[in-house]
Amino acid sequence: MDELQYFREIVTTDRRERELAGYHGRVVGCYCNFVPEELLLACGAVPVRLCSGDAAAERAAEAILPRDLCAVAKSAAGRVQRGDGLCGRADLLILPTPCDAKKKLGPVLGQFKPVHVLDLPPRKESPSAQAFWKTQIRDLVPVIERLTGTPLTRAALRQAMDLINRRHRVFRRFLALRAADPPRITGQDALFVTQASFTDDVGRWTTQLEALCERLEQSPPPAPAVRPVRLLLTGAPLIWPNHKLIELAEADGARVVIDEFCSGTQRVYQPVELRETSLPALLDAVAEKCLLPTTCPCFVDGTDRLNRVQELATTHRVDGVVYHCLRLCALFEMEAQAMQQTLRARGLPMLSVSTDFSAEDRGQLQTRVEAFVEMLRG
Amino acid sequence: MNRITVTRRAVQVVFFILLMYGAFIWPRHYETPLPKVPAGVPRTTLYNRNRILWVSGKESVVDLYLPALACRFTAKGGLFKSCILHFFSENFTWRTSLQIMLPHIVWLVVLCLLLGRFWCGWICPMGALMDAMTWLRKLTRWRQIHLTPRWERFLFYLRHFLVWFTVVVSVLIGYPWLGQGANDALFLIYCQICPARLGYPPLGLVNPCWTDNTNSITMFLTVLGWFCFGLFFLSFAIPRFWCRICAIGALVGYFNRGALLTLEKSAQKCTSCGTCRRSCVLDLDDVYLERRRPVVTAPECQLCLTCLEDCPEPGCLELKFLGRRILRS
Amino acid sequence: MGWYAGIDSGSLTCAAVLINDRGALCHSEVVLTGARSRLASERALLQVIGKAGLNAADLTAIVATGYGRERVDGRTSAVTEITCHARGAVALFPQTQLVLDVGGQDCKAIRLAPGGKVIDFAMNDKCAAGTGRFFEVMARALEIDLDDLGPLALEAQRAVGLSNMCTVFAESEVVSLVAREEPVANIAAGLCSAAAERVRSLAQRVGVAPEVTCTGGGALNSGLVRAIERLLGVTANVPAEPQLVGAYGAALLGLENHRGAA
Ligand code: SF4
Ligand code: SF4
Ligand code: SF4
Ligand code: SF4
Ligand code: SF4
Repeated sequence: MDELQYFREIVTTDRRERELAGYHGRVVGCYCNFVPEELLLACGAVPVRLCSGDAAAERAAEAILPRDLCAVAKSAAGRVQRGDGLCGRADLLILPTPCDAKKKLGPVLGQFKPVHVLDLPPRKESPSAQAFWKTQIRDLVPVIERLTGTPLTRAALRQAMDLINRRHRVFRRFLALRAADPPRITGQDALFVTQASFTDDVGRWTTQLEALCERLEQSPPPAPAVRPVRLLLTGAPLIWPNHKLIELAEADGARVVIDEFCSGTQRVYQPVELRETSLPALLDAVAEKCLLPTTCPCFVDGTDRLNRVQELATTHRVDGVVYHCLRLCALFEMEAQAMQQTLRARGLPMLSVSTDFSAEDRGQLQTRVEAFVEMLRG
Repeated sequence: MNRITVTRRAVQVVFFILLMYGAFIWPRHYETPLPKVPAGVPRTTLYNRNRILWVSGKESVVDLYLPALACRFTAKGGLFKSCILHFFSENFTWRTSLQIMLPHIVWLVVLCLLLGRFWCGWICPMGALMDAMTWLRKLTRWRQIHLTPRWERFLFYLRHFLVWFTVVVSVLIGYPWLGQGANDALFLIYCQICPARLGYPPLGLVNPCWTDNTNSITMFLTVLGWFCFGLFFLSFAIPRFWCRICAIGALVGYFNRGALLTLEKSAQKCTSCGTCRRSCVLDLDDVYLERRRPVVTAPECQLCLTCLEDCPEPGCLELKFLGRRILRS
Repeated sequence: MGWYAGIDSGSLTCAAVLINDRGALCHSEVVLTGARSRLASERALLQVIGKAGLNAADLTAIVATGYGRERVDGRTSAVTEITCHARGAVALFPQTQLVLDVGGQDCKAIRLAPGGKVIDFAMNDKCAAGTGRFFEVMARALEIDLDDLGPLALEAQRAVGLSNMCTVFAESEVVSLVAREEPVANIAAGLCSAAAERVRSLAQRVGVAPEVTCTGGGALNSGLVRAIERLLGVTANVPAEPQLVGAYGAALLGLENHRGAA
């Protein structure tokens, strides 16, 4: 399908790199989902999320980072060090500090590129933490203004927020197609869709997704011989090219009907309402949007993710949950038990797998995932 | 889009007109008979008509009270008699027998239990005025001012203090202990600071009693009344600012959690996005924070349903009456 | 008459069984896997059908399982060893609630609902500790036959504690224990309880239940089974040929699948 091909192309080829090579404005590299894209867009910068699942970059980074460090942090560093693609193009890197690895990554990346570190509070629900975060975002404004030479205006910010809100609206329409039975799209293709939003132009991505939704809504639903097992994927983000787990999960006729990754559904899910429209109010709204609904396990309290997974499992009529732990990332692994207990209490089976970017444990992983699917098939 | 807000504005306008100008539409001209004071009871019940009683000297159309600012000082007496606090104040002072009070109490309690502070969010004309101020502010692009948690806490204590202070004073002055002058001055104490007393008459083109220099207490209360009237206009910058002081609202708020009309949240559907808190004109965080109990109507919540309208998660917030769903996000 | 083959292509051994259409196990064959599992499974299959005097065309279904299931030529389907062990164990001991499979290179705990449906399972990570490979290495270090390790362990006065379960470190520890003239039986018992600890932690992840069935080559080790029983406080069912359970389950699944489709 051409509409799908577009998203694959954005993720897997250097198309965006070529496009931005000829762009005269500023490109700002971001990590995680904590960086307010609206702000960057309003000042005329192009935000690109540079998180990566590149195993080669990860190995390359072992020259400058300890080996026993999570693969996401290492590959991020590796790509900047090598000046890969958009990492080379970026004029500034904005690095939030969700975990220890990312905290200490600032100076490392700073050797190659200007870095602005965005301090995350360890909790997100306490008033003081929220106040602190709002200052972090307010302090980001002059940094961006200086970089682009464009002062932030209320009108521009509103416009950018509208643009992003439109993206969320279309994305929710897209989610409904995944909730359908049978799902209209594979989980991996959906991951390509969300991951294309890492680097793609926001407006164009939205238009493309609209076209894809239209196409999927109009084409007749696929009629599989047997009802596919419906899986939910959560845990550490799968980021291209590390799609090993989702490939295995869907290899056997199962369908990942929804994911709860910061690189997937969570990335483009949250809209912002516009009731108070003064500049500070807009900034605060954007700041809250970037912090409050996130389900990143870096915060003290993990209830939001438990709720989110349960809710997605309900709305997408999921048969089982696959929980992805990334080796050496304690955060996800430590939350796995609470998740298991919560889901078990609801009678929802969960499989927890621990892996990394390498391909060497593919066989092991496959046995687990396949056995899990067989178990769900009963 | 914004269906709830549009409906609410319409309801507010309708009730504003009814409560403010009801007596113009259905005029009912007669002087109120002065309450009978049983023999042996000291006549502490000062009827300083100039200062305190309904400016028009007219009785209301309907002989009932409401749990919102349906005010005794409305021009021509208004559609309803007065607000709930006024009812208790004057009758406690008059030491009206329970027999006479009971039907009114039952009526008020039923109204509170049915709708909770829905009265504030949808019916109170004062609330409508404050919302109009907020609308004006947005039109003129002024910023909203948020109170610090300290101020919020102070106002919380203040309004509940005002409720009980009013009740205690009203009971006390039913007896002659403080002396005639003080008793007269303290009659309907809360009305002295309520912005409705000064604000409503002009809306019906009558002049309120701006000053009362009977004695030092009345003079002090006069100034305090002006001050509070001024505070009311802070609602331009701080949405529904007077509601944060209003003792009538605080009193009705005691019924809010037990009311049949409830705002409920499904914790599982909530993403903690904070939208509801940002939308709430009263800066309430109860909806955002609640994670266990389904009912999220805080004592301060006016059931304005702005949060329900703005919540991005379908079905996360619901308005229920007697457990039956009426509206959902 | 229909014949169904199940092939369990494991990392150490490759087992093939043949069942008839009443589900009775008729012939079996176990060969060493060696370096190329494709060849081993082919050999096992050929030998088992040879025993029955059949040829490949007589088989209604060939179901492959085990680590090398994708590399079994001629398979009609591939199913993971978890489903197969569960199926096999339930066929042999219908009351089974918990299957403990100690295989050549990994261990599994499989929790079953009444009726035999898998409801949860756990596998150890990529580490040979406590598996068939582990005991093979240790038997060599103790200079005894692998088959004798279990019975020997049962005779021990006490089990020596081992400080490390990694195959490499444990091997050198065993060597030094032998040098210190620690009775071999005690060392064997120590190895068995250490391995049983591993199995117990797996079992606890899925939930211990009274009806336990041990399968896989490890169940041939009576010392290990005893140690598991002691740690879990249960009496375990051990099939006569536990190493065939996976292949047997696979063949049964082939049979059921065929019946379901017919
Ligand atoms: S899980 Fe959290 S720390 Fe990891 S990439 Fe996502 S947002 Fe960043
Ligand atoms: S002035 Fe205020 S308290 Fe008094 S009757 Fe009017 S609304 Fe009620
Ligand atoms: S709290 Fe506000 S809305 Fe409620 S009665 Fe008082 S002034 Fe009216
Ligand atoms: S707006 Fe809705 S989803 Fe967001 S915090 Fe409030 S109740 Fe939860
Ligand atoms: S919590 Fe919701 S319904 Fe209650 S006052 Fe605030 S916005 Fe209105």
